[in-house]
Amino acid sequence: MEKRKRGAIDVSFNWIFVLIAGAAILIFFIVLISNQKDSAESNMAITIRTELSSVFSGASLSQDRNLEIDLPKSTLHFTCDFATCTDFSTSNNPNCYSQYEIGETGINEQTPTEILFAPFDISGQKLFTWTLPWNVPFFVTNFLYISGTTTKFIFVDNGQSEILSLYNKFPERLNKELVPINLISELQPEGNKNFKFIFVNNEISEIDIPEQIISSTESYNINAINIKPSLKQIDFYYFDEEKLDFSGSISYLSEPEIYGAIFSNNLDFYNCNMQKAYNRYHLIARVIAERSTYLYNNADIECKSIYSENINGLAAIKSATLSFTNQNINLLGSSISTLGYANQAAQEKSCPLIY
Amino acid sequence: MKNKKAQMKMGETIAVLVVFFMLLFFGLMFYSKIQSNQIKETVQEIEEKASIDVAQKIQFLPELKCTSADVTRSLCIDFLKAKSFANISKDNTAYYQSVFGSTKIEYAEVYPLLTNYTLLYEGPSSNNYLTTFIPVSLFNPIPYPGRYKIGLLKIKYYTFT
Repeated sequence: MEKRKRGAIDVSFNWIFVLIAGAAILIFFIVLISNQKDSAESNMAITIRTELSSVFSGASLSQDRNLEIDLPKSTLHFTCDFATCTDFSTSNNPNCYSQYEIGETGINEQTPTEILFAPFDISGQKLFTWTLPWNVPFFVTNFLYISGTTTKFIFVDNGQSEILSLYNKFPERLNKELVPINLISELQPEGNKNFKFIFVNNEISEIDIPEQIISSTESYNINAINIKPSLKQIDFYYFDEEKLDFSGSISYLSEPEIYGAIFSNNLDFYNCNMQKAYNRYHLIARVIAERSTYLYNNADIECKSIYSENINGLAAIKSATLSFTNQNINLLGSSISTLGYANQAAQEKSCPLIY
Repeated sequence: MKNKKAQMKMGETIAVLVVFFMLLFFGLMFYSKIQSNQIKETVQEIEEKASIDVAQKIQFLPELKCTSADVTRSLCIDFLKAKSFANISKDNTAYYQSVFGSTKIEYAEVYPLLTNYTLLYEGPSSNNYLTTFIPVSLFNPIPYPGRYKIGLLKIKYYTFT
Protein backbone atom coordinates (compact mmCIF):
# COMPACT_ATOMS: atom_id res chain seq x y z
CA MET A 1 0.00 0.00 0.00
CA GLU A 2 2.83 2.36 0.94
CA LYS A 3 4.85 1.56 -2.20
CA ARG A 4 1.85 2.22 -4.52
CA LYS A 5 1.13 5.54 -2.79
CA ARG A 6 4.76 6.66 -3.11
CA GLY A 7 4.85 5.73 -6.82
CA ALA A 8 1.58 7.53 -7.47
CA ILE A 9 2.89 10.71 -5.81
CA ASP A 10 6.23 10.49 -7.70
CA VAL A 11 4.57 10.17 -11.11
CA SER A 12 2.00 12.94 -10.49
CA PHE A 13 4.65 15.30 -9.16
CA ASN A 14 6.86 14.65 -12.19
CA TRP A 15 4.07 15.55 -14.62
CA ILE A 16 3.08 18.62 -12.66
CA PHE A 17 6.69 19.75 -12.71
CA VAL A 18 6.90 19.15 -16.48
CA LEU A 19 3.69 21.12 -17.05
CA ILE A 20 4.89 24.08 -14.98
CA ALA A 21 8.30 24.15 -16.66
CA GLY A 22 6.73 23.76 -20.10
CA ALA A 23 4.24 26.54 -19.46
CA ALA A 24 7.03 28.84 -18.24
CA ILE A 25 9.12 28.20 -21.37
CA LEU A 26 6.09 28.70 -23.62
CA ILE A 27 5.15 31.98 -21.95
CA PHE A 28 8.75 33.15 -22.22
CA PHE A 29 8.86 32.51 -25.94
CA ILE A 30 5.41 34.01 -26.56
CA VAL A 31 6.46 37.23 -24.79
CA LEU A 32 9.74 37.27 -26.74
CA ILE A 33 7.98 36.82 -30.08
CA SER A 34 5.38 39.44 -29.23
CA ASN A 35 8.13 41.95 -28.34
CA GLN A 36 9.99 41.13 -31.54
CA LYS A 37 6.81 41.65 -33.57
CA ASP A 38 6.26 45.12 -32.03
CA SER A 39 9.93 45.92 -32.57
CA ALA A 40 9.75 44.83 -36.22
CA GLU A 41 6.64 46.97 -36.81
CA SER A 42 8.33 49.98 -35.24
CA ASN A 43 11.46 49.36 -37.33
CA MET A 44 9.40 49.24 -40.48
CA ALA A 45 7.56 52.42 -39.52
CA ILE A 46 10.85 54.21 -38.84
CA THR A 47 12.23 53.06 -42.21
CA ILE A 48 9.08 54.23 -43.99
CA ARG A 49 9.23 57.56 -42.19
CA THR A 50 12.90 58.12 -43.09
CA GLU A 51 12.37 57.16 -46.72
CA LEU A 52 9.20 59.25 -47.04
CA SER A 53 10.92 62.25 -45.49
CA SER A 54 13.62 62.08 -48.18
CA VAL A 55 11.06 61.48 -50.91
CA PHE A 56 8.88 64.41 -49.86
CA SER A 57 11.93 66.62 -49.44
CA GLY A 58 13.23 65.75 -52.89
CA ALA A 59 9.81 65.90 -54.53
CA SER A 60 9.12 69.36 -53.14
CA LEU A 61 12.33 70.72 -54.70
CA SER A 62 11.45 69.84 -58.28
CA GLN A 63 8.81 71.87 -60.06
CA ASP A 64 5.83 70.50 -61.96
CA ARG A 65 6.70 66.85 -61.49
CA ASN A 66 4.51 63.97 -60.58
CA LEU A 67 5.88 60.80 -59.04
CA GLU A 68 4.53 57.38 -58.15
CA ILE A 69 6.04 55.83 -55.03
CA ASP A 70 5.68 52.22 -53.89
CA LEU A 71 4.76 51.84 -50.25
CA PRO A 72 4.67 48.83 -47.97
CA LYS A 73 1.16 48.04 -46.80
CA SER A 74 0.46 50.77 -44.27
CA THR A 75 -1.72 53.81 -43.72
CA LEU A 76 -0.42 57.36 -43.53
CA HIS A 77 -2.38 59.82 -41.36
CA PHE A 78 -1.88 63.50 -42.19
CA THR A 79 -2.66 66.20 -39.64
CA CYS A 80 -2.49 69.97 -39.89
CA ASP A 81 -4.35 72.03 -37.30
CA PHE A 82 -5.03 75.65 -38.30
CA ALA A 83 -6.04 76.56 -34.74
CA THR A 84 -2.45 75.96 -33.58
CA CYS A 85 -0.88 78.07 -36.34
CA THR A 86 1.12 81.17 -35.50
CA ASP A 87 2.34 83.81 -37.93
CA PHE A 88 4.91 86.59 -38.10
CA SER A 89 2.52 89.12 -36.58
CA THR A 90 2.78 87.25 -33.26
CA SER A 91 6.01 85.24 -33.35
CA ASN A 92 9.53 85.08 -34.81
CA ASN A 93 9.19 81.34 -35.14
CA PRO A 94 5.73 80.78 -36.58
CA ASN A 95 4.66 77.23 -37.24
CA CYS A 96 1.65 74.94 -37.14
CA TYR A 97 1.02 71.62 -35.42
CA SER A 98 1.42 69.41 -38.44
CA GLN A 99 2.63 65.85 -38.93
CA TYR A 100 2.15 62.58 -40.72
CA GLU A 101 1.96 59.29 -38.83
CA ILE A 102 2.70 55.76 -40.02
CA GLY A 103 -0.20 53.47 -39.17
CA GLU A 104 -1.02 53.18 -35.45
CA THR A 105 2.63 52.81 -34.40
CA GLY A 106 2.92 56.31 -33.01
CA ILE A 107 5.95 56.88 -35.27
CA ASN A 108 5.47 60.25 -36.92
CA GLU A 109 7.32 63.00 -38.72
CA GLN A 110 6.67 66.58 -37.68
CA THR A 111 6.12 69.00 -40.56
CA PRO A 112 5.77 72.42 -38.90
CA THR A 113 6.93 74.35 -41.98
CA GLU A 114 6.50 71.88 -44.85
CA ILE A 115 3.59 72.55 -47.17
CA LEU A 116 1.82 69.26 -47.91
CA PHE A 117 -1.71 69.08 -49.28
CA ALA A 118 -3.05 65.59 -48.66
CA PRO A 119 -6.20 63.79 -47.49
CA PHE A 120 -6.40 62.72 -43.82
CA ASP A 121 -5.62 59.08 -44.56
CA ILE A 122 -3.74 57.46 -47.40
CA SER A 123 -3.71 53.69 -47.54
CA GLY A 124 -2.68 51.24 -50.19
CA GLN A 125 0.61 50.36 -51.81
CA LYS A 126 1.12 53.41 -53.97
CA LEU A 127 1.59 57.07 -53.18
CA PHE A 128 1.37 59.84 -55.75
CA THR A 129 3.10 63.19 -55.42
CA TRP A 130 2.80 66.26 -57.59
CA THR A 131 4.40 69.67 -57.24
CA LEU A 132 3.51 73.07 -58.62
CA PRO A 133 5.57 76.25 -58.14
CA TRP A 134 3.84 79.05 -56.26
CA ASN A 135 4.87 82.31 -57.92
CA VAL A 136 3.33 85.40 -56.31
CA PRO A 137 4.87 86.97 -58.40
CA PHE A 138 8.31 85.72 -57.30
CA PHE A 139 8.91 82.08 -56.54
CA VAL A 140 8.11 81.29 -52.90
CA THR A 141 7.91 77.53 -52.66
CA ASN A 142 6.64 74.42 -54.38
CA PHE A 143 3.28 73.13 -53.24
CA LEU A 144 3.50 69.39 -52.70
CA TYR A 145 0.28 67.47 -53.35
CA ILE A 146 -0.01 63.89 -52.12
CA SER A 147 -2.65 61.29 -52.83
CA GLY A 148 -3.22 57.55 -52.76
CA THR A 149 -4.92 54.95 -54.91
CA THR A 150 -8.20 55.02 -52.97
CA THR A 151 -8.95 58.73 -53.47
CA LYS A 152 -11.19 59.67 -56.39
CA PHE A 153 -11.25 63.22 -57.77
CA ILE A 154 -14.53 63.92 -59.54
CA PHE A 155 -14.52 67.04 -61.72
CA VAL A 156 -18.13 67.95 -62.38
CA ASP A 157 -18.62 69.38 -65.86
CA ASN A 158 -21.39 71.99 -66.02
CA GLY A 159 -20.19 73.54 -69.25
CA GLN A 160 -17.69 75.93 -67.62
CA SER A 161 -14.34 76.03 -69.41
CA GLU A 162 -12.44 76.41 -66.12
CA ILE A 163 -13.37 72.91 -64.95
CA LEU A 164 -12.00 71.42 -68.17
CA SER A 165 -8.80 73.41 -67.78
CA LEU A 166 -8.36 72.20 -64.16
CA TYR A 167 -9.10 68.62 -65.18
CA ASN A 168 -6.63 68.64 -68.08
CA LYS A 169 -3.79 70.00 -65.94
CA PHE A 170 -4.46 67.39 -63.24
CA PRO A 171 -1.94 64.52 -63.59
CA GLU A 172 -3.16 61.48 -65.51
CA ARG A 173 -1.66 59.09 -62.94
CA LEU A 174 -4.10 60.31 -60.29
CA ASN A 175 -7.54 58.80 -59.95
CA LYS A 176 -9.57 61.51 -61.72
CA GLU A 177 -12.81 61.56 -63.66
CA LEU A 178 -14.69 64.24 -65.56
CA VAL A 179 -18.41 63.72 -65.07
CA PRO A 180 -21.23 65.73 -66.70
CA ILE A 181 -23.44 67.21 -64.01
CA ASN A 182 -26.49 65.25 -65.15
CA LEU A 183 -24.62 61.95 -64.80
CA ILE A 184 -23.48 62.29 -61.16
CA SER A 185 -26.14 59.77 -60.09
CA GLU A 186 -24.42 57.09 -62.17
CA LEU A 187 -21.09 57.36 -60.41
CA GLN A 188 -19.77 54.11 -58.91
CA PRO A 189 -17.38 53.76 -55.92
CA GLU A 190 -15.01 51.36 -57.81
CA GLY A 191 -13.26 50.42 -54.56
CA ASN A 192 -12.39 54.01 -53.60
CA LYS A 193 -12.68 55.30 -50.05
CA ASN A 194 -12.23 59.08 -50.46
CA PHE A 195 -14.35 61.13 -52.84
CA LYS A 196 -13.59 64.73 -53.73
CA PHE A 197 -16.10 66.62 -55.89
CA ILE A 198 -14.84 69.68 -57.72
CA PHE A 199 -17.36 72.22 -59.02
CA VAL A 200 -17.00 75.56 -60.75
CA ASN A 201 -19.73 78.18 -60.28
CA ASN A 202 -22.29 75.56 -59.30
CA GLU A 203 -25.36 75.63 -57.08
CA ILE A 204 -24.31 72.99 -54.54
CA SER A 205 -27.72 72.72 -52.85
CA GLU A 206 -29.04 71.05 -56.02
CA ILE A 207 -26.38 68.31 -55.97
CA ASP A 208 -27.34 64.83 -54.76
CA ILE A 209 -24.51 62.46 -53.96
CA PRO A 210 -25.42 58.99 -55.29
CA GLU A 211 -26.46 56.39 -52.73
CA GLN A 212 -23.86 53.88 -53.89
CA ILE A 213 -21.08 56.40 -53.06
CA ILE A 214 -22.57 57.24 -49.65
CA SER A 215 -22.85 53.61 -48.62
CA SER A 216 -19.30 52.74 -49.73
CA THR A 217 -17.48 55.00 -47.25
CA GLU A 218 -17.76 57.17 -44.11
CA SER A 219 -19.39 60.59 -44.50
CA TYR A 220 -16.18 62.46 -43.57
CA ASN A 221 -14.51 60.92 -46.65
CA ILE A 222 -16.90 62.73 -48.99
CA ASN A 223 -16.33 66.43 -49.52
CA ALA A 224 -16.48 69.07 -52.20
CA ILE A 225 -15.22 72.46 -53.27
CA ASN A 226 -16.93 75.04 -55.45
CA ILE A 227 -14.57 77.41 -57.23
CA LYS A 228 -15.75 80.91 -58.18
CA PRO A 229 -13.10 82.29 -60.55
CA SER A 230 -14.73 85.72 -60.94
CA LEU A 231 -14.61 86.28 -57.17
CA LYS A 232 -11.32 84.35 -56.79
CA GLN A 233 -12.99 82.36 -54.03
CA ILE A 234 -13.19 78.70 -53.05
CA ASP A 235 -16.15 77.37 -51.06
CA PHE A 236 -15.63 74.19 -49.03
CA TYR A 237 -18.37 71.65 -48.36
CA TYR A 238 -18.59 68.58 -46.16
CA PHE A 239 -21.06 65.72 -46.44
CA ASP A 240 -23.67 65.49 -43.70
CA GLU A 241 -26.96 63.56 -43.66
CA GLU A 242 -27.33 62.96 -47.37
CA LYS A 243 -26.32 66.43 -48.58
CA LEU A 244 -23.33 68.70 -48.93
CA ASP A 245 -23.16 71.40 -46.25
CA PHE A 246 -21.23 74.63 -46.55
CA SER A 247 -18.27 74.80 -44.16
CA GLY A 248 -16.51 77.99 -45.20
CA SER A 249 -14.88 79.92 -48.00
CA ILE A 250 -11.48 81.45 -48.68
CA SER A 251 -10.01 83.68 -51.33
CA TYR A 252 -7.12 82.58 -53.51
CA LEU A 253 -4.44 84.22 -55.61
CA SER A 254 -3.36 81.60 -58.13
CA GLU A 255 -4.04 78.14 -59.54
CA PRO A 256 -1.73 76.13 -57.26
CA GLU A 257 -3.95 77.19 -54.36
CA ILE A 258 -7.00 75.73 -56.13
CA TYR A 259 -5.20 72.40 -56.43
CA GLY A 260 -4.26 72.70 -52.75
CA ALA A 261 -7.98 72.97 -51.97
CA ILE A 262 -8.68 69.95 -54.19
CA PHE A 263 -6.18 67.77 -52.32
CA SER A 264 -7.16 68.96 -48.81
CA ASN A 265 -9.97 67.16 -47.03
CA ASN A 266 -11.34 70.30 -45.42
CA LEU A 267 -10.93 74.06 -45.05
CA ASP A 268 -8.99 73.75 -41.79
CA PHE A 269 -6.30 71.56 -43.38
CA TYR A 270 -6.09 73.90 -46.39
CA ASN A 271 -5.83 77.02 -44.20
CA CYS A 272 -3.14 75.39 -42.07
CA ASN A 273 -0.91 74.67 -45.08
CA MET A 274 -1.60 78.09 -46.58
CA GLN A 275 -0.55 79.72 -43.31
CA LYS A 276 2.76 77.82 -43.53
CA ALA A 277 3.07 79.02 -47.15
CA TYR A 278 2.40 82.62 -46.10
CA ASN A 279 5.07 82.38 -43.42
CA ARG A 280 7.59 81.44 -46.15
CA TYR A 281 6.16 84.15 -48.39
CA HIS A 282 6.74 86.80 -45.73
CA LEU A 283 10.39 85.87 -45.20
CA ILE A 284 11.18 85.75 -48.90
CA ALA A 285 9.40 89.08 -49.39
CA ARG A 286 11.67 90.55 -46.71
CA VAL A 287 14.77 89.17 -48.44
CA ILE A 288 13.70 90.59 -51.79
CA ALA A 289 12.73 93.92 -50.19
CA GLU A 290 16.14 94.23 -48.57
CA ARG A 291 17.77 93.29 -51.88
CA SER A 292 15.65 95.97 -53.52
CA THR A 293 17.01 98.47 -50.98
CA TYR A 294 20.59 97.52 -51.86
CA LEU A 295 19.73 98.00 -55.53
CA TYR A 296 18.14 101.37 -54.74
CA ASN A 297 21.29 102.55 -52.95
CA ASN A 298 23.51 101.57 -55.88
CA ALA A 299 21.22 102.23 -58.84
CA ASP A 300 21.42 104.82 -61.60
CA ILE A 301 18.89 107.65 -61.51
CA GLU A 302 16.60 106.10 -64.12
CA CYS A 303 16.40 102.84 -62.15
CA LYS A 304 16.07 104.20 -58.61
CA SER A 305 12.28 104.66 -58.55
CA ILE A 306 11.74 101.00 -59.48
CA TYR A 307 13.46 99.82 -56.30
CA SER A 308 11.49 101.84 -53.77
CA GLU A 309 9.57 99.35 -51.60
CA ASN A 310 6.62 101.64 -51.21
CA ILE A 311 6.25 102.12 -54.96
CA ASN A 312 6.98 98.64 -56.32
CA GLY A 313 4.56 96.90 -53.90
CA LEU A 314 7.09 95.06 -51.74
CA ALA A 315 6.19 96.97 -48.58
CA ALA A 316 2.52 96.09 -49.05
CA ILE A 317 3.41 92.44 -49.70
CA LYS A 318 5.54 92.28 -46.54
CA SER A 319 2.68 93.71 -44.52
CA ALA A 320 -0.07 91.55 -46.08
CA THR A 321 1.88 88.31 -45.62
CA LEU A 322 2.18 88.73 -41.86
CA SER A 323 -0.94 86.62 -41.48
CA PHE A 324 -3.19 84.52 -43.70
CA THR A 325 -6.63 86.14 -43.83
CA ASN A 326 -9.17 86.85 -46.56
CA GLN A 327 -8.52 90.58 -46.17
CA ASN A 328 -4.76 90.15 -46.66
CA ILE A 329 -5.27 87.87 -49.65
CA ASN A 330 -7.39 90.55 -51.32
CA LEU A 331 -4.77 93.23 -50.56
CA LEU A 332 -2.04 91.07 -52.05
CA GLY A 333 -3.76 90.79 -55.41
CA SER A 334 -3.02 94.37 -56.45
CA SER A 335 0.46 94.48 -54.84
CA ILE A 336 1.49 91.38 -56.78
CA SER A 337 0.47 93.03 -60.05
CA THR A 338 2.34 96.22 -59.09
CA LEU A 339 5.51 94.28 -58.38
CA GLY A 340 5.17 92.36 -61.62
CA TYR A 341 4.92 95.61 -63.60
CA ALA A 342 7.86 97.10 -61.70
CA ASN A 343 10.00 94.08 -62.53
CA GLN A 344 9.00 94.32 -66.16
CA ALA A 345 9.87 98.02 -66.15
CA ALA A 346 13.32 97.17 -64.74
CA GLN A 347 13.86 94.78 -67.63
CA GLU A 348 12.71 97.37 -70.19
CA LYS A 349 15.02 100.03 -68.74
CA SER A 350 18.00 97.64 -68.61
CA CYS A 351 18.09 97.82 -64.81
CA PRO A 352 18.84 94.83 -62.54
CA LEU A 353 15.63 92.91 -61.93
CA ILE A 354 13.86 93.21 -58.58
CA TYR A 355 13.34 89.41 -58.50
CA MET B 1 18.24 4.35 -1.80
CA LYS B 2 15.11 4.82 -3.86
CA ASN B 3 14.76 8.33 -2.46
CA LYS B 4 18.28 9.14 -3.52
CA LYS B 5 17.59 7.83 -7.02
CA ALA B 6 14.50 10.02 -7.35
CA GLN B 7 16.39 13.03 -6.03
CA MET B 8 19.17 12.43 -8.55
CA LYS B 9 16.65 12.21 -11.38
CA MET B 10 15.06 15.49 -10.30
CA GLY B 11 18.50 17.04 -10.06
CA GLU B 12 19.20 15.85 -13.60
CA THR B 13 16.04 17.56 -14.90
CA ILE B 14 16.86 20.78 -13.11
CA ALA B 15 20.43 20.73 -14.44
CA VAL B 16 19.11 20.31 -17.98
CA LEU B 17 16.82 23.27 -17.50
CA VAL B 18 19.63 25.39 -16.05
CA VAL B 19 21.91 24.63 -18.99
CA PHE B 20 19.07 25.32 -21.40
CA PHE B 21 18.36 28.73 -19.91
CA MET B 22 22.05 29.57 -19.80
CA LEU B 23 22.35 28.82 -23.50
CA LEU B 24 19.26 30.88 -24.16
CA PHE B 25 20.65 33.76 -22.14
CA PHE B 26 23.96 33.75 -24.02
CA GLY B 27 22.12 33.51 -27.31
CA LEU B 28 19.98 36.53 -26.43
CA MET B 29 23.04 38.52 -25.29
CA PHE B 30 24.76 37.81 -28.61
CA TYR B 31 21.62 38.74 -30.57
CA SER B 32 21.14 42.00 -28.68
CA LYS B 33 24.80 42.93 -29.27
CA ILE B 34 24.33 42.45 -33.00
CA GLN B 35 21.06 44.42 -32.92
CA SER B 36 22.74 47.26 -31.05
CA ASN B 37 25.49 47.52 -33.70
CA GLN B 38 22.89 47.45 -36.46
CA ILE B 39 20.95 50.24 -34.77
CA LYS B 40 24.08 52.39 -34.56
CA GLU B 41 24.70 51.87 -38.28
CA THR B 42 21.07 52.70 -39.09
CA VAL B 43 21.24 55.90 -37.06
CA GLN B 44 24.42 56.89 -38.89
CA GLU B 45 22.71 56.22 -42.24
CA ILE B 46 19.70 58.30 -41.22
CA GLU B 47 21.93 61.20 -40.20
CA GLU B 48 23.82 61.06 -43.52
CA LYS B 49 20.55 61.01 -45.45
CA ALA B 50 19.26 63.95 -43.44
CA SER B 51 22.42 65.94 -44.15
CA ILE B 52 21.99 65.32 -47.90
CA ASP B 53 18.34 66.37 -47.72
CA VAL B 54 19.30 69.57 -45.92
CA ALA B 55 22.08 70.31 -48.42
CA GLN B 56 19.59 69.90 -51.27
CA LYS B 57 17.07 72.17 -49.56
CA ILE B 58 19.66 74.88 -49.07
CA GLN B 59 20.87 74.56 -52.66
CA PHE B 60 17.35 75.35 -53.88
CA LEU B 61 16.46 77.90 -51.22
CA PRO B 62 14.42 80.76 -52.74
CA GLU B 63 16.11 83.16 -50.29
CA LEU B 64 19.46 82.51 -51.98
CA LYS B 65 19.04 81.26 -55.51
CA CYS B 66 19.42 83.37 -58.63
CA THR B 67 16.19 84.13 -60.43
CA SER B 68 15.25 86.12 -63.46
CA ALA B 69 11.48 86.71 -63.17
CA ASP B 70 10.09 83.13 -63.27
CA VAL B 71 13.31 81.54 -64.47
CA THR B 72 15.58 79.94 -61.90
CA ARG B 73 19.26 79.34 -62.36
CA SER B 74 20.47 76.24 -60.58
CA LEU B 75 23.68 76.11 -58.49
CA CYS B 76 23.70 79.89 -58.33
CA ILE B 77 23.58 82.23 -55.35
CA ASP B 78 22.49 85.83 -55.70
CA PHE B 79 25.04 87.89 -53.80
CA LEU B 80 22.53 90.54 -52.69
CA LYS B 81 19.98 87.93 -51.59
CA ALA B 82 22.70 86.19 -49.58
CA LYS B 83 23.54 89.47 -47.85
CA SER B 84 19.85 90.05 -47.00
CA PHE B 85 19.34 86.46 -45.90
CA ALA B 86 22.33 86.65 -43.53
CA ASN B 87 20.64 89.58 -41.73
CA ILE B 88 17.12 88.17 -41.73
CA SER B 89 18.14 84.67 -40.62
CA LYS B 90 19.67 86.12 -37.43
CA ASP B 91 16.21 87.34 -36.37
CA ASN B 92 14.52 84.09 -37.30
CA THR B 93 16.98 81.39 -36.24
CA ALA B 94 14.29 79.25 -34.60
CA TYR B 95 12.15 79.29 -37.75
CA TYR B 96 15.00 78.29 -40.03
CA GLN B 97 16.02 75.60 -37.57
CA SER B 98 12.73 73.88 -38.31
CA VAL B 99 13.55 74.19 -42.02
CA PHE B 100 17.21 73.10 -42.00
CA GLY B 101 17.71 71.49 -38.61
CA SER B 102 20.95 72.34 -36.80
CA THR B 103 23.09 73.63 -39.61
CA LYS B 104 25.78 76.17 -40.36
CA ILE B 105 25.72 77.67 -43.85
CA GLU B 106 28.67 79.59 -45.23
CA TYR B 107 29.91 80.57 -48.63
CA ALA B 108 33.20 81.79 -50.02
CA GLU B 109 34.39 83.11 -53.32
CA VAL B 110 37.11 80.97 -54.92
CA TYR B 111 37.55 82.65 -58.31
CA PRO B 112 38.74 85.19 -59.34
CA LEU B 113 39.57 86.03 -55.72
CA LEU B 114 39.88 83.61 -52.82
CA THR B 115 37.99 84.96 -49.81
CA ASN B 116 37.18 83.76 -46.31
CA TYR B 117 33.89 82.08 -45.60
CA THR B 118 30.95 84.41 -44.99
CA LEU B 119 28.33 83.16 -42.56
CA LEU B 120 24.76 82.96 -43.84
CA TYR B 121 23.06 81.04 -41.06
CA GLU B 122 24.05 79.24 -37.88
CA GLY B 123 21.81 77.03 -35.77
CA PRO B 124 22.65 75.12 -32.58
CA SER B 125 25.96 73.30 -32.93
CA SER B 126 27.61 70.18 -31.55
CA ASN B 127 30.99 68.42 -31.81
CA ASN B 128 29.69 65.92 -34.37
CA TYR B 129 28.88 67.15 -37.85
CA LEU B 130 28.75 66.18 -41.50
CA THR B 131 30.04 68.71 -44.03
CA THR B 132 28.89 69.12 -47.61
CA PHE B 133 30.62 71.37 -50.14
CA ILE B 134 28.71 72.56 -53.18
CA PRO B 135 30.36 74.57 -55.96
CA VAL B 136 28.12 77.45 -57.01
CA SER B 137 28.08 80.55 -59.15
CA LEU B 138 27.95 83.81 -57.22
CA PHE B 139 25.94 86.41 -59.09
CA ASN B 140 26.21 90.11 -58.29
CA PRO B 141 23.48 92.06 -60.16
CA ILE B 142 25.26 95.38 -59.72
CA PRO B 143 26.22 96.88 -62.08
CA TYR B 144 23.79 95.76 -64.79
CA PRO B 145 23.81 93.15 -66.40
CA GLY B 146 25.62 91.65 -63.42
CA ARG B 147 28.73 89.61 -62.91
CA TYR B 148 29.37 85.93 -62.10
CA LYS B 149 32.10 84.53 -59.89
CA ILE B 150 32.81 81.01 -58.73
CA GLY B 151 32.12 80.17 -55.13
CA LEU B 152 31.79 77.33 -52.69
CA LEU B 153 28.82 76.72 -50.44
CA LYS B 154 29.75 74.94 -47.20
CA ILE B 155 27.00 73.26 -45.21
CA LYS B 156 27.77 71.80 -41.80
CA TYR B 157 24.99 69.55 -40.52
CA TYR B 158 25.31 68.98 -36.78
CA THR B 159 24.27 65.67 -35.28
CA PHE B 160 23.39 65.11 -31.67
CA THR B 161 23.71 61.31 -31.42
